[in-house]
Amino acid sequence: MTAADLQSRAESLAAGLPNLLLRAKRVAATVSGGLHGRRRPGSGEDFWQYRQSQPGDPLTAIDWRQSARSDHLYVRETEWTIARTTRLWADPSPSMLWRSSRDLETKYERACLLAVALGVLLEQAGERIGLLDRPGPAFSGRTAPARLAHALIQAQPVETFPEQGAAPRSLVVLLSDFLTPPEEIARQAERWAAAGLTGHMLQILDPAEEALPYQGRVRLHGLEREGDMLIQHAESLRDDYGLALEAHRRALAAIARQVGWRFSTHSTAQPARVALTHLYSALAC
Amino acid sequence: MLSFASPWLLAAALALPALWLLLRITPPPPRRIDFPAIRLLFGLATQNRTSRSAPLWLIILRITLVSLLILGAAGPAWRRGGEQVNGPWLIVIDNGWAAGKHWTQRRGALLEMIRQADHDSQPVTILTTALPADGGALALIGPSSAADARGVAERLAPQPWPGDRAQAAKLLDTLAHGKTMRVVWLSDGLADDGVAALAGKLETYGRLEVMLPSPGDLPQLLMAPTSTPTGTRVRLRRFGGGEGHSTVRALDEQGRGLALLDVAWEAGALNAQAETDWPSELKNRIARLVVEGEEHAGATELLDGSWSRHPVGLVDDGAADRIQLLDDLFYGERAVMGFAEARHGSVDELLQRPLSLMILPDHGALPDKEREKLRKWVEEGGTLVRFAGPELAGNPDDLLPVRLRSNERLLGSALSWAQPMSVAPMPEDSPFAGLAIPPDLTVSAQILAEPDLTLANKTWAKLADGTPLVTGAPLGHGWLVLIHTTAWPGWSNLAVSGLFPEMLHRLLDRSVGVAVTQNAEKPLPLAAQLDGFARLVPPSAVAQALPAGNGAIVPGPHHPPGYYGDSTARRAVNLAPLLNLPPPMGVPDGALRLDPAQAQADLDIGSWLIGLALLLLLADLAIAGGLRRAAIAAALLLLCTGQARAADDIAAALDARLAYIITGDSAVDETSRAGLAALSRQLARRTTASLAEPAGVDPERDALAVYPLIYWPLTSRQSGLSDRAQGRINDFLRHGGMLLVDSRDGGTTSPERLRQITRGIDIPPLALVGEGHVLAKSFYLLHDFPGRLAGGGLYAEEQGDAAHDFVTSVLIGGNDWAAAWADDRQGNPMFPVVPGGEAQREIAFRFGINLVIYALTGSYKADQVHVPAILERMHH
Repeated sequence: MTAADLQSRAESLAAGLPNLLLRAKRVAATVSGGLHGRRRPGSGEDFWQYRQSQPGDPLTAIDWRQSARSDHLYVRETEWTIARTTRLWADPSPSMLWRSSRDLETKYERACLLAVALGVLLEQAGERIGLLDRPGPAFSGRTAPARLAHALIQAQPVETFPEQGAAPRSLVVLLSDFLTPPEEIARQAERWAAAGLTGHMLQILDPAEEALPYQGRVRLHGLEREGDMLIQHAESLRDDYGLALEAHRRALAAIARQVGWRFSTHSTAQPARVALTHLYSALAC
Repeated sequence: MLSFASPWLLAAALALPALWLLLRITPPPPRRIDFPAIRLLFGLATQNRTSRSAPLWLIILRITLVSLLILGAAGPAWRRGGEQVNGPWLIVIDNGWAAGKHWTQRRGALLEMIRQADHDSQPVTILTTALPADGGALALIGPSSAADARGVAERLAPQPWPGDRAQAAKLLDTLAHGKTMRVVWLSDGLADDGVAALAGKLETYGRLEVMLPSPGDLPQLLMAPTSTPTGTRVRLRRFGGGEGHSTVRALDEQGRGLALLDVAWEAGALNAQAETDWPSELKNRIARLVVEGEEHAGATELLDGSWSRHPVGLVDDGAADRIQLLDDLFYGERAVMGFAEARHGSVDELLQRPLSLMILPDHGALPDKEREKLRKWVEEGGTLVRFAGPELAGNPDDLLPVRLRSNERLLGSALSWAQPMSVAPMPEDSPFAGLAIPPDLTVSAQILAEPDLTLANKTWAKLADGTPLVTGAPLGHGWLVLIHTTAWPGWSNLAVSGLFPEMLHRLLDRSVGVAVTQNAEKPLPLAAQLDGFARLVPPSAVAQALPAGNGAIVPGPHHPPGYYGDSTARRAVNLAPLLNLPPPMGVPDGALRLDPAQAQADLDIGSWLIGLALLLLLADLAIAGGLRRAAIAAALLLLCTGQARAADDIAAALDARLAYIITGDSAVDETSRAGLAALSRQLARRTTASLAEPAGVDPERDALAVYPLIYWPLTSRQSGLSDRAQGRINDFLRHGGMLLVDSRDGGTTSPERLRQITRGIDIPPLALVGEGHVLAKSFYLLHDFPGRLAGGGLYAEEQGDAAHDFVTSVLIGGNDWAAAWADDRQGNPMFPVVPGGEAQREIAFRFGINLVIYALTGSYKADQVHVPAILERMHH
């Protein structure tokens, strides 16, 4: 998949979401979406309040028209606004580059698609977007999704969580299969939470990983040096595996709750828009 | 019976138990699957029910697979014909005159046996029963390797004389008794004194198998034809068969057909005859009679004219004082000299020997006795030609076609008013119709006939005033003819005109020929001999002259049937009258009759076994490796077979190349391929035509349109083409393709067989290709078109299609060209060419080059002859 490809697919996916709904969400969620007025004086364009001039205010800050109406000098203050930055992370580990069948996308492809689609939506809402594992300023403006797609395509497989933190109070969206042991994930989540990040974890799994559809004598091979495992009757393990996966997911949800994040799951067999809608609505409120 | 080409490969079966053990202890490898969520599985306890070995059915499947492969690789072949000894081969083949019929099939059976011997690596001994043409003695050929025996068999040809089985039986004494042999006798089906002796000797070497033609397939004999007053009687003799009919074909000196005669056979009859009323003029041109479908010396009757000679008698009155130019016999003798034998003598003397025509000048009254003799002779078929004169005018007798007036009529004399009379144009129904009258021919005196109602019918020539000049009337089987003027220039200048000999010639043609048993007065050397296929070939070096006298000769290498003598005295020696009509031969006691069908090719099972093994392998892959891997393997297999064909068509279209039709006989196909490849190399060397490797085509499936020329060798086992193949070949021919059909037997294949094989193909009327044809000059100047064999004709469209620029679409011949061209990779020829040796091979290559150039350039070379004329015109 080329970057242009990824972007066009993501744009069509994003365009599918009803515009009206988005706008309504945006209006309803002024706190979290759009240019967020901080309800206190700061740098911004909208008028916030007049206050009496105090020593130290620069002369240029004095609003002469208001000051002429009374004996005091007034200073015109504007509301402090910032654009929130959302940092996305599509896990480029080898396990994500896997698919069980030729008919499906790899998990990484699905993650990239979701990331860019989200990027398109966020850009429309005026947010700045960036990648968690890519240091440097976040992207903004119309070209942001394209640059995002480009950066995702160029990512190298890495097996670890990104060390590079985001700016405090950034929103983080983690798209991964989260198949590493829950303890590792918990440690990382705590680190990020301590850095003031809020976020969302989306676990993307292949249908084969959810169902273990194999039969007979198989040798399973891990992709991240976990080693091999010879199973005589794969079908006999299916139920136990389902329980193990369920437990793993519960552990992940618990970690997310602990740090005040959100956790959801997604299968590559499902349409991407299901996850996107869910993700977007979760971010909007 | 099953046999193996490489039995030692079966030793590999010894390894099967080891394979069994190996499969027992080695479990089949598990499928390896990448699985990222493997970590989740680590904690799970697996209840291991390990299968430490492969399941039994899988082992059986694989053992079967390997066994099939071993069996298939060992080259098994199913030999039709039940239990047979596997030992050295002893093959007796009759190659006397009777073997000429169905020789191709007989030799095909011989080659097939040699192939089987080759397959079994057994030596072959061949014994022929007819003396070789080079005058040598009979000899055992071998024991030799099958490859050498094949070379001998390729060159083997039937001889135009009977075989000598007793002599052949004696030869067997020199063959050592060793292992039990496979003894086969390819008999021509006719018995002789040596049958019992030969069969007895052969049975001491092993179980004798005899291949006999069915009674209907035995050769037929054409006996010497006889002349009867009303026509010709042709007699045939055969050795068995049911109701049917044969066709006798009359050919002239150049081999052109003159007439056909159907002879009907009654069921069970051994003799048949038919009578014709061929006119004498036609009969006199016949040079030989052949029975259609019987290509052997016994069914060919060479005619030397002795059966229909036309001796002319001139009645001489015995006068001694003859003055040449005034002699009335002189002119008649000169007139017949060129084309008939003339004799002088009195009536009595002349009638002692057979005569066709007698000329009786005006000699006055005949004695009654002589007259009666003459009347009897005429009634038996003689033609009496009389001339008028003063004597006859005085004494007319009754041997005349018309009644005469007693006086001659004088024209243009001193006492007459009339002028000498000219001759009127010949009446349409007269024997002289069409003869031109010289303008200066005049008649000054004649004898008039009494007017009569029948006179007009009897008048064969008349004067300008309608009075008769020649009258004729039948008497018994013969004719009386009167010329109403003198035989010398006394009354008319007829005797010195050019019309006179022509008239006598016409009369001779009408006369009944007589069979003359002429004794050779001197030894006659052999001029041309018949070969085993009844073709006239130059005499062999060992042939001896026909002795003088009427002594019986024994047909053999020293006295082959053919023409003896030179142009002055030629005598035909035919085989059929010299044979003592043998009875058909039965199966000797204790021998086994070998059905011709049983001599068919072995059924090759090896490829089927290997195919089955491949199927099992696919099944195994499907079980062990998943359906997808099996599907890929199956697709690969299909690609190797099916798709390769479409790719072939595309590749064939990229380069110009020659093609041959795949006959299914691997030896023939390999010869075709090697032959065309060698020809392509010669073309590249000598001309600017550079052709790619030749391609074998199956007309049912391959695209033919991409080939300029397709070579089609015929084999004895071919039957006709399928409808689809016929349609495609017709399409190819209609759109400018060229097809060279090669019967590979020197042109002895019967027309019926050719018709059967080429059934459904639009073959236009064909004509022999002569030196004037473009084929003879498209690159080299050629006089004939030999291949491995020489002498068979090459036939092309008589009149090409204007749409194809008069380029022929079909060429048919039988000279086995590809075999002459074929060489191994080192450039050594694969087959000897007969009879011309390497010079003939060179001509064969030149023919091939001409042929390809013709196929590529069409009539361009024919147009080249006009170039000087065109240049000349442009110059002006």
